[in-house]
Amino acid sequence: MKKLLLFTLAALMMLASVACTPAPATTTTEAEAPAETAAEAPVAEEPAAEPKLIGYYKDAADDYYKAGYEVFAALAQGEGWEIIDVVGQGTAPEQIAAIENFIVTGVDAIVCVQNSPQASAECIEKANAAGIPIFFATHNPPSDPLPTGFAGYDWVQTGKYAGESASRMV
Amino acid sequence: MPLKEVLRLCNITKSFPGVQALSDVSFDLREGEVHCICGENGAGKSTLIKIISGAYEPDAGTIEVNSQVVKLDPKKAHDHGIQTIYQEHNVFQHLTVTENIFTGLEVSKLGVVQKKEMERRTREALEQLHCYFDPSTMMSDLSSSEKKMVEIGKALVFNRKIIILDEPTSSFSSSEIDNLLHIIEVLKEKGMGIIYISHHLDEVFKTGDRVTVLRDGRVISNYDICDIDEEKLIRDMVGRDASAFYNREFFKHGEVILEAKRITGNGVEDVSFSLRRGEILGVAGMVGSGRSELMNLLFGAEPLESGELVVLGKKVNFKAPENAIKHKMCFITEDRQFSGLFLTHSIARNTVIANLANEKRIFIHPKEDIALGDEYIKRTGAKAENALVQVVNLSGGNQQKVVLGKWFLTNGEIFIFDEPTRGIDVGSKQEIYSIMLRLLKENKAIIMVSSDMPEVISMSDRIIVMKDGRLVAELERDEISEESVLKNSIGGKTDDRSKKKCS
Amino acid sequence: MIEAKRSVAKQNWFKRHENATPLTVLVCFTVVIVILQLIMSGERGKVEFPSFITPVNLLNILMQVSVPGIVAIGMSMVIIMGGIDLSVGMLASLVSIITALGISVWKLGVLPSILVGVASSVVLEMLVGFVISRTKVEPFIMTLGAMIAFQGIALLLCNSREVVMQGELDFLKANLIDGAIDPVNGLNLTIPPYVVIFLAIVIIIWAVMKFSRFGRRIYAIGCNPNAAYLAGVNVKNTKLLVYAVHGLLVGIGAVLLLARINVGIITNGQNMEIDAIAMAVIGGIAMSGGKGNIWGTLIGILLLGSISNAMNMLRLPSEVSFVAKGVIIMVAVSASYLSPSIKKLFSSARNT
Repeated sequence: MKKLLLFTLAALMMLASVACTPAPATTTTEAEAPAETAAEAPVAEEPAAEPKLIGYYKDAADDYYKAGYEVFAALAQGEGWEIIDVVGQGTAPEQIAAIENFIVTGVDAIVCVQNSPQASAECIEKANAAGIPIFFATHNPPSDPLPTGFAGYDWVQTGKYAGESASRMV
Repeated sequence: MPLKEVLRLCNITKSFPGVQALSDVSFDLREGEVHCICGENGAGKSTLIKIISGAYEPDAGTIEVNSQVVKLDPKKAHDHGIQTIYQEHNVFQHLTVTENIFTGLEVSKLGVVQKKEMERRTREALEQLHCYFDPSTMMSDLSSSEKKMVEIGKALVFNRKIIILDEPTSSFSSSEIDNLLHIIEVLKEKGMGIIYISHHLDEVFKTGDRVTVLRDGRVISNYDICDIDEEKLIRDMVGRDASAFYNREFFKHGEVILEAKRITGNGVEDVSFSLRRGEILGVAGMVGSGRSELMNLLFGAEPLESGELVVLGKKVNFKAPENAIKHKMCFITEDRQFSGLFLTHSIARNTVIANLANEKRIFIHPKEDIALGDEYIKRTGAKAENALVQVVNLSGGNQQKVVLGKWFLTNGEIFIFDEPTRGIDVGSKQEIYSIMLRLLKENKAIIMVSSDMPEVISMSDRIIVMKDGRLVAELERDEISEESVLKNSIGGKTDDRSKKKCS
Repeated sequence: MIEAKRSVAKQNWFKRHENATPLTVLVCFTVVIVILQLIMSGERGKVEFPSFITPVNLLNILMQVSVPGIVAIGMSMVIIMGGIDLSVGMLASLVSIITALGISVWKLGVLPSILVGVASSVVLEMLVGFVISRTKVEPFIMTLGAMIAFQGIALLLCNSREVVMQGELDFLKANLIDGAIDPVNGLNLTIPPYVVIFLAIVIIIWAVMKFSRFGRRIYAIGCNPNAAYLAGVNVKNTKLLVYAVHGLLVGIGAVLLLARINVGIITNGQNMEIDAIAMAVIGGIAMSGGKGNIWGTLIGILLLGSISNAMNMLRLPSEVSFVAKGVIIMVAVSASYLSPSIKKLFSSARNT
C-alpha cells in the first residue's frame, strides 16, 4: 500500500515537472548581444545531417550569461539543435558535476561559463577523454589543458585599454 | 425517578501497535451522578478517557452525547460540554488563572479582549468551588489542589455538563481530598455528570453512585455502590483475592551497606542515617520536604557540599550518577517518563543503557540487547510481546517493570525507589512489592520514598521523616504508626477510610 | 514459541523496518526516471538504454555525493544526539582554504597541510561543542554564529581571493580502475580514492552507532538527556566527543573536496549544510533526536544526489531540479506520517 502510494506520488510529480518544462526550442527572446555572438556564430554553422545536442552550463543565474545563452540558443534552434540548459549556484563542484552529467548523456559539444580555471581544467580533461569538444564563454579558461574554443574578451587587456583611455581623459 | 442520560459509549474498541487497549466497552453516564471507573493499569482507563475527551478516535463503536451520535475531537468534545481533567496538570504555569481558563476561548467585543468580564466570570466560578484566591494569581503560585480547582472552574465557566476526573487526588493532603469530594457534591447538585477514575477505593465509596470495573480492556462489571464492598471491587479488578495486600515478611538485617554522615547539598541539610542489608528504609515527609532532593544527592546527580557518604565500606564523593552506578547503586526515579525511560526506544534499549557503565567491551551486538530485554521482561513479569516493543506503548505498571529490569541488569546492591507504585494499579503494586522483598532476600538494601501512607507504613523496616530539608525523626519498627509519622511530618495527611452511607 | 515470534518479525519487517520508507522512495524514483528516459528517447526516434542507470553514471553520482555524503554522516550523528550544526558548509570552505594555503603558500608539504586542515576542523568543532554541551545554548543559534565566524576567518586567511593549487592532491582522485570501460556507452569508468574513503566512513560510523557503547549513548541522549544522565551516561563529554568526530569528518570531506576542485575558494562548501541536513532527514533521521540510522542516511545521500543528476539526464532545466529536490524531501519526510491515515481511508472505503 505504502509502496503503491509513493510510486504514484513520485510518478505524478515527475510527469508534472516534465509537462511544466517548456520545450527546449522555444527561447527566442532577443537580448543585447555582446560581442560573443560573432565568435560563437562560426561554431554554430555546422551543416550536419543529424540535429546536435549541446550541453550549456552557466556558473550562476546572471543576466549577462543569460543574454549570451539566449543568442546561442536562437542560433542553435535555427539549425534544429537541442540544448540542455543547466545553471549553477556559483560553486565549482556543481560545474564539475554538470560536465560529468553532460558526458554521460552523450552530448555532441559542451559550452561552459566557468566557475574557476582549476575546475575547468578538470572538465577539459574529462571532455577530452570522452572525445567531446568543450568551449568556454565569458571567463578565461586555462590554457593547459587546452579547450576546443573560447568566446569572450581578454579581460586583462580590456582593463589596460580602459585604464589608458581614462588616463588620457584626465 | 431515573436520571437523564448525558453520555453513552457503545461497543468501543481501540488498539495500538502491539496492544489491544479496549474491546467492546460500553459505558453510560447520567446527569447528577458520579460514575467511577476502577481497574488495574493496562485495564484501559486512560484510553477510555482519551476517547471521551476526543484525543483518540475509536477503531469501532459509537459515542452518544445527550442521545445524539457524535464524532469527537478535542474541540468538538468541549463544544459538546465534555471537560477532561487529567492526572498530570494541563495548565499554563506562566499565565494567570483567568488566562488559563479563557485561553483559546477569550471573550471579545469587536476583536478587543474583555479582561474585566473574563475575570468576573472566573471569580464567580471559583467562588462556587469555595476558592477565594484572586483570578489574576499566577498558576505557578497555586498548590496542586488549587490548580485542580481551576481546571474544574473551566467547566463551570463554559457550562460543561460532563466532567472527567482522572486520579484527581494524586498528591493531595487529606483535607484537600475532603474538599474535593465536597465540591463534587456541589457539582452533582448542578446536574453535572462526573466520571471519577481513582485507585483510592475509599474515595470511590465516599463519592460514587455507580462503579464500572475494567480489566484488560473489557468491562468486567457494573454496580451501584450501595450493592458492593471494597473486597468485591478489588476481586473484580484483580481477579484474585487481594486481602494479603499489605502483609510482608521481615528479614534479618545484615551489615551496614550505606552510611550518610551529616550530608548537605541540593537543598538538604545535615542528614545522617545508615542503611543495612535486608531492610527497607522508608523516607516519609510532606511534598517539598526534601525527600527526592536527598535521593538525588545520594545518587550523585547533585554535588555533595559537605559531610561524608560511605558506600560498601568506602568513602565516596560521586561526581555523577555514573560513579554511583559503578558503586552498585540504583535509582528508580519518581517520574519514570521524565527521567527513567526512553519512550520512543524499545524495551531492549531501555534495559541495557544503565549497565553500559559497567560494560568493558567496546563493541556489543544489538542482538544481545534484545536477548537481555527478553530475559528481564520475564524476570520482572512485565506484560509485553517482546523486547522490540516501544516503551511508550506500555501501561504504567509495565513501564515501571522495564525500569526495574534496567537496574537489575547492573547487579546493584542498593536500590533507591522514589514513589515505586505511583500511578500503578492494585495488582501490579503487589507484584512490585514482591519484587522488592525478593531483593531483600538476596541480601540487598532498599531506600524507599513514598507519599502513600499505607505503603510506607507496611513496607518499611524503619522510617526516617524529612521536613524542610532536614531529617527530623527516625522511627524503629515498633514506633511506626500513622500518628507518629504524621506528627513528625506536620501538615496533616490523614487517611479516613469510612464508607459512604447508603439510604 | 520463539519460532513463531521470529516469523512474525519477518512478516512485519517491511512495516517495522526503519529504512523501508526512504528505500521505497529511492527505488520508486529510480524506476520513474528509467521509464521517463525510455519514453523520451523513444520519442526522439530510437529507444536507448537509460543513461541514468549506466555504470558510468552511477559512479558519477557516487563521485558527486562523496563529499556532501561524508558531511551528512557526521551531521546524522549530531542530529541523532539532539543537536544540529549549520556551520559545516563554511567550515568545509575554511578547511579547504587552510589546506590549500598550507600546500601552495606556506609550503608545509602535502601531508602536514592535510593534518593542519583536519586538525583545525576538529578543534573548531570542539570549541563550539564545548559551549553547546556545557550550557543551555541552542545548537541552532550557536552553529549559525559559528558559520558566519568561519566564513570571516576563511576570507581573512585567503584575503578574499582564491588559493590556487597545482594538483598536489591529485592522488586523491586518481582512477583506481583505470582502463575500465562502461559496456553501454564506451566511456571510461572512474573510481577515485575519495569514493572509497566515503564508503569506508559510512561503514565505520554505521558500526560505531550500532555496536558501540558510544553509539547507544548518543541515541539515549537524543531521546531523553535527563534519563540518560541518571542512567550513568556522561552527557556533557559524549556531546563534546560527537562534535569532535563530526569535525573530523567535515575536515576529511573538505580535504577531499579540495582534491576534486583543485582550488581553495570560499564557495567550496557553500550550501553544503542544507544538503547534509536534507540527506539526513530524507534518510529518516528525526530532527528531534534519538531516531534513525546510518544506512538510512546513505539512502538519503544517494537519493538527493540522484535528483540533480536525473534532471540533467532528462535534459530538464536546472530550475526544475530545485522544485524536484524540494518536493522529494517533503514526500519522503511526510510519507511515514501520511501512510497510516491513507491506509485507514482505503480500509474504511472498503468497509462501507
